Amino acid sequence: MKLTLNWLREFVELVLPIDELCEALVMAGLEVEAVAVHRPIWGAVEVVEIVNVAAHPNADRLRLCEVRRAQGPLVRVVCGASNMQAGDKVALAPPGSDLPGDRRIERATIRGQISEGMLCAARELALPDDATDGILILPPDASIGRRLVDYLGAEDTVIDLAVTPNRGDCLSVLGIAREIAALTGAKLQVPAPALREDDPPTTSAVRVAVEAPDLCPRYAVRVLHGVCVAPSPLWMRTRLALIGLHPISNVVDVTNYVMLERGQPLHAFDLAHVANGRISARRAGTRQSFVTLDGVERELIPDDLVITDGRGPVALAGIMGGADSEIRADTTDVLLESAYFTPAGIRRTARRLGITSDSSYRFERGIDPVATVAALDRAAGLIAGTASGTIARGVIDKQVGRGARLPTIRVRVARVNALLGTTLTAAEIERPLRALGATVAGHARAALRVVPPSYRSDLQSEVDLIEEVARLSGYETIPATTPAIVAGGPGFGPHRDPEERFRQTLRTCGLTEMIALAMIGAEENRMFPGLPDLSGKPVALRNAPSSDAAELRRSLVPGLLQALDVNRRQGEPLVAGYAIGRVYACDGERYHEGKALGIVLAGAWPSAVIGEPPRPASFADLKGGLALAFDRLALAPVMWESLQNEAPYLHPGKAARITIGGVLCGVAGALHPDVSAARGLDGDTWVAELDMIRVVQYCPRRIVFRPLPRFPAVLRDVAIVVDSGFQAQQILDAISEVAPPLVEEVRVFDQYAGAPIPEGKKSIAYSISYRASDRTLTDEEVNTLHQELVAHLTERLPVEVRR
Amino acid sequence: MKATLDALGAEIENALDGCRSDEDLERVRIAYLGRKGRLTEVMRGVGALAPEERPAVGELANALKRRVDECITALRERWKAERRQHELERERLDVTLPGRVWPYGHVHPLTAALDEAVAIFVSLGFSVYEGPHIEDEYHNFEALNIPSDHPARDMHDTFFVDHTHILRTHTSPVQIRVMENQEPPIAAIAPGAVFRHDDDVTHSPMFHQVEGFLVDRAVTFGDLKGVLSLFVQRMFGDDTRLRFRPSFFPFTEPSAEIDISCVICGGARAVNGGTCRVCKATGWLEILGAGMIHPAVFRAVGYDPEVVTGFAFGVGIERVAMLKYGITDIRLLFQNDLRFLRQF
Repeated sequence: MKLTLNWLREFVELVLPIDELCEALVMAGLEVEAVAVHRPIWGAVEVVEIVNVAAHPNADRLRLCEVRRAQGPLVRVVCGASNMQAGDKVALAPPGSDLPGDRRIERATIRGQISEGMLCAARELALPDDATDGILILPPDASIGRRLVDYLGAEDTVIDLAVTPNRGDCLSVLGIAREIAALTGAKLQVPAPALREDDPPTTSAVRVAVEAPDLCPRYAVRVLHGVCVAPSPLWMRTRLALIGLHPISNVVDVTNYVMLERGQPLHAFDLAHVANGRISARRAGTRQSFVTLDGVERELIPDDLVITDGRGPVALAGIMGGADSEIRADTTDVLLESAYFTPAGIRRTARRLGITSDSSYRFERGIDPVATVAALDRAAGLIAGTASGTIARGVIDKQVGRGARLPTIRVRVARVNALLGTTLTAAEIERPLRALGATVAGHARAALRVVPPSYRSDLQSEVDLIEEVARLSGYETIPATTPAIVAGGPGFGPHRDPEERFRQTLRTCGLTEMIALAMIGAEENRMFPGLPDLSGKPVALRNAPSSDAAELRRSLVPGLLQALDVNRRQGEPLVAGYAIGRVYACDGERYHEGKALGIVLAGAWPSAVIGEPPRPASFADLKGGLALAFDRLALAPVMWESLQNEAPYLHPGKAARITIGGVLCGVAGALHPDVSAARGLDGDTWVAELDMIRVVQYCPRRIVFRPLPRFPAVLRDVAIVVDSGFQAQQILDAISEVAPPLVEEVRVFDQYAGAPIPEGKKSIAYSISYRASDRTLTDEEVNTLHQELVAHLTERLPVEVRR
Repeated sequence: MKATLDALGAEIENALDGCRSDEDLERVRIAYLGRKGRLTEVMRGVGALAPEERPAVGELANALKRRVDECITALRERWKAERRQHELERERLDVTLPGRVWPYGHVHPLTAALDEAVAIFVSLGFSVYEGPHIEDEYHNFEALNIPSDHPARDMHDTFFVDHTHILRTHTSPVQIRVMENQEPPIAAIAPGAVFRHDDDVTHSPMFHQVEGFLVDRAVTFGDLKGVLSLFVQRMFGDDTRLRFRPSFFPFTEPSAEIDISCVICGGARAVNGGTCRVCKATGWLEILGAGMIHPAVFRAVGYDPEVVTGFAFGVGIERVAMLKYGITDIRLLFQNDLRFLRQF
């Protein structure tokens, strides 16, 4: 909401300097977004009167003017224009004055005649152009000697305020003036419009009916005859231009001007195009199309409120007028509308049609239902004053809805203090409420009976008024206190600890945390469907910002691959990242939100020490990092097995499914070569994803200490020759199946292929640790146990012991 | 005898002079002091001397043996020291070479800021809750006193999932969900992602908030000021000043926006002689929205607003992180550029 200080001054005295005024507005909840001082360079240009116009003796196209200044003798000015005559008020740039475009006016001799300055055209002052040739002719009321900037109000300060949606009353100069009056104690003055009405009466020109009182509780009109549509006066154009509005014509500019000043949207119809002189506010009733004055054809639904004439709609009530009845250059009779439309109705239609106009914006936020006619009169007076014409006698004012019944609100002193933490008295509460314009009807010690002013439709309940008391007293006056917070509640909750340990461990392994947007493209979402147990259909956005953000991710992998791409392009030799975040799916009826972990690992670990070569990232890095994280969480047995078909985007031979306690919790491995190729990735790209909700489920609630062993362990190694496709885990499984006594741990410590191992075979070496809890084992005892174990393995599995 | 000893002494001295290694020394020692060594034999001969000669000669022989022993030990020690010295001179590390690059990953600045904010509130007695990102309009809007025809909905550019579900536009629906499931007193925070249809230098379609609220029998606006002052000063430093400004949120009343003194210019509005661009020369930075929970919200969850009061607040974590670390473009937070992430 932009407005100017001069405009404000017409309603309230500004007792504070601009800085303090802005500070006061900010601290009252009106955010000052910008303050712009407009001080035209042509401040020395003054109003003068032409006394005499004569031909220039030496030039046909020049005139010699004698003009009267406020003081001193008449001065002579040579002028190239011819649109002036004696008695005109014009703008003189005296010698020594500056004009836009780095021009400085000096006394000059033009074709032998001395010119004491220059008579200015609007264009030369960078004023809104009225498209007339020649110099600027000012209205007769311009007083001689006055600075033109003062007369036009061109030297002014524009304030841009952010108005919250509850404060529709602040969308006008008058509204802000009221706030300033309430904040500073200055008196508000609202000049009553001087109105001269003439016959014939308004009722002879137009008949008004309101058929939808629920949507249009009040509808008032006036009629002006003999109006001459032309550019509006310069002062008005100057002011409108200051706040960024394009002047259009005197009639239209006045409706805008009064809306900005009073907050009451107005609409002007060309009466000649209001069929049968009949105006009705009613629902559209049927589906139909309607061309608004911006030339766009709008589809109306039966419930939309429209203004109709004898034929059909002429305006989308409160939102935009129709193209057929708008004011044109040849309009002579004007029908001026000032109405109160209910906010919800306007909002429904405006939102559906995607229109936001200055008018709908104000109606949606609630205007003053009492000021309808005052604004109408102000506008009629301004039009009559600037576009000539006569105002028809009488106003038609249909008040059909429930009249503006203002609520009476009980404000309890105790309640105010209980909510704010203050110790205000009834009088201290009453003062700010009165400053707002509220009527304090009853006044007991315990409670006030308050009637808010008509323009504050946002004040409906006690708490609304408590806020006003706090706001006007100043939030800074409320003492800060520390509440007693009752201990209890889950604190960080059960998830944070395991999750945080996971994050920490992965960072220790060299993985950096990454956060990507949850929205991804539909194709990506199909390629990376997340873990099979949890996935469902993708969740699509109805109003997606772009096709690559059309759906909510089912997996964190695509986001990480995007990060890989970003960093590859930067020339990063290694991209090692993890992400923990939500994933989303829909099973038809319900939405599911899971929590997933994703890892991406590609490139080579940089040389750790000079001289050592860089080391390509491998499956072992991926598995090692995850295994360490699982270990840090003391998870139940974690199994790594060959991928079945859980993740088609992974390489079938270089990927694993991870189960915890027999339940699938994740996958890890190399991207499928086709997927890599499609993304222009060469070499292996290692990725993993885990279902963090499941992982956390398997975390022990507490760590239990195991006593340290008292007797030493005895180690025995065995190397086993197997087919090259044989998995190391099979031996471990075979051992744990028989659960041999005294075997404490079995560990794979080497793998070898090549001579003397036959082609197609490999040797895997295991280290087995034997320990008894009650004695030191003897060599013979261990040898017997070990032989039995090895024999068991060779019997059960197609393996040989390597001698 | 004495002459023999003198001659032997001179000979030994000669032999020692010729020694160049520990092995040479050992040979000399064995030749003279060994079991069959020449000095040993001389000393054995002392017993055969006349008793009156014995003490003097014995003394001489012993003195010679001591001297030789000492000399050998001294030489050994010296050479050992020389060898160590030599080694020390030869073994040189270039301590200016880089150390081993231990792998270490970095925490994302958003997580760092979020964790810090959460930890502060937990330390004050708040508990952590989460809610769904795909939220229904009731919890995101209606229950929070934002009816469908309310202009306040314009403040939320909403992503729609279906005709009743949206991506939550703020973390406030968690307020409703927590209050629907328990009775006061409640001190809760709800950190997490939220979504709005917005994308520029200061807005991202996904961003993060920490919502917090306290509901009890006598919670006041003064309490809100106290708790948020504590939070801000722990987060941004004890000398951070706060300013509570009236504002509007449909789900709180009175509502406030909280500014902190600019983290760059400290409220001076200028840095290095130029106007401060971070606070746009206002000296203040908006950091939080807050207020007393609106009675309509309490009624929506079945609480009696005459019995309980409460405050609620929301803080944007991207903004906190950007201010804390001086990041100027929000999009950096979601690009995962390692050159950026490695700085945290």
